[in-house]
Amino acid sequence: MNMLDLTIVTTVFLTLCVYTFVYKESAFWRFAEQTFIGLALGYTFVLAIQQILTVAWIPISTGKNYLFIGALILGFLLYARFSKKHAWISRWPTAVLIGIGTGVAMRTVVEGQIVTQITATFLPLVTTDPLKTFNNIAIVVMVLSTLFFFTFTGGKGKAAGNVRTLGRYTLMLTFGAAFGGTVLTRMTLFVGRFTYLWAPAQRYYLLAIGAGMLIILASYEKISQILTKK
Amino acid sequence: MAKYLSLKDYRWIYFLLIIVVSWPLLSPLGLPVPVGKSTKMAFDTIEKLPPGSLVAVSSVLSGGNWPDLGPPQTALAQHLFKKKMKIVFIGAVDEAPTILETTLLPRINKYGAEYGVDYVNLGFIAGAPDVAEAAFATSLRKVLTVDFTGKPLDQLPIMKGVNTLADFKLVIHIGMAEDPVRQYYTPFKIPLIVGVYGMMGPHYIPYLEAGQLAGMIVGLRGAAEYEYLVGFVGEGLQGSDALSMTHLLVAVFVILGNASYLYSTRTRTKKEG
Repeated sequence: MNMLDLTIVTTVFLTLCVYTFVYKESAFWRFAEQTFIGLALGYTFVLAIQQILTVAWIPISTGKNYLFIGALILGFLLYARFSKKHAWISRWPTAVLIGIGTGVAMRTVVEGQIVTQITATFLPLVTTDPLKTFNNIAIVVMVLSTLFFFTFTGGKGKAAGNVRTLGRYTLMLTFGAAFGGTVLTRMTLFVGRFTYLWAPAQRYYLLAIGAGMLIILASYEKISQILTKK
Repeated sequence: MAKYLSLKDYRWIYFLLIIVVSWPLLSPLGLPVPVGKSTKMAFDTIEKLPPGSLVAVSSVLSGGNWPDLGPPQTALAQHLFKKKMKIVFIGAVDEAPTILETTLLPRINKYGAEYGVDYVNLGFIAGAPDVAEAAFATSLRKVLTVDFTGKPLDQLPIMKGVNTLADFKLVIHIGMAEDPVRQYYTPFKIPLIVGVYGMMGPHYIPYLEAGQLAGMIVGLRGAAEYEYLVGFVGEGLQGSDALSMTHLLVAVFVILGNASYLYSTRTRTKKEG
């Protein structure tokens, strides 16, 4: 007889604990939530220590790179926020973090996300492929009407109003696609999890653990109802 | 009428969802998987690379996003191993290297690839994705001295002469597309393939049309298409039927929701008028 696979038992149990929230909040859900937070914090803490050791501490201690002393001091200063009196000191490392982050992100924004995207909108409005012609016209018209929608000075009258309406519809189409995509991605997460749970190796664990949890939840609810009546 | 169209208890939706997902898993429907343009572009880009080309694969893979991002990365990694590429894996979040070792690599055929020679897991680079990717692209030797197992980079044959992203022939990023376009493609002009969340696919089409992306795999659905092209049955193809059925269910609910809304609005207007 095969031994119980503890990895499968744990994953199936914790997954079902989370899914009990769909029915209502329960002790199972809270247990899974707090276990997840604890594990994630522990894992991140260990990796952070490991990262500090390999990236900063070893190069400093072996005399290869003393520049990391500055980084370690800045990192240490972040903890000043726990003291009301010295909290202002933590603004310095925060400012450095935000400054570097923004600077690194922005250095290629103009070329990568503005100039190239504008250039890509200059499309031929007549091509040999009718579908491409339609797509190109749609892209150009929708881009221009959306830009016009955000132009608040000038451009009054019925024609301008119609262009703005087209821009608004374009925005609504985009938001609709984004919202639809978000819903469908959530479905993907569920399908992925369910495919794992329903695989032959996990299926019987799912049924057994699921039935056990259902009995516990139903009994707990019944007992709570009786106690409330009393 | 509106009473029947509007579900008073949302839990019915979840119940129907479970039925719709379990049905194709118990009895596969074999619904067709048409391959999209962006997936085909990604496949062709890798096909055109000569064997032995150095490829960087960075990702934000974690336990939470595995169902959507895991299958695209698995299918791409399978293709890279099949084509005998030299692969350098790097994580832009802390969970990515662990997930790679424990979940992704055991699932695929590595075609005899040797660790340290044909592929390597460099661990993760701390910081926000943009900063981590920029550090990896411009000065990886300064932020990484050892691989995920603690072995110095100088002792790994695959890392010989590799100093910046310019030494790679292709870069693949699993996660979002804005930051790799900013940090990988724009400064280095190296072909970039992305594997993105299903919900982000429509947002990134402009990057594809502008030629900034050499291919894009969109979520589980894109993974199914890619697996079909590679000839590998993974989570994408396994969950494809279930995914199609859930999409159908959502479409039905959208129609019912709109019908219910329009009917109730019309009834209210008639009563008031």
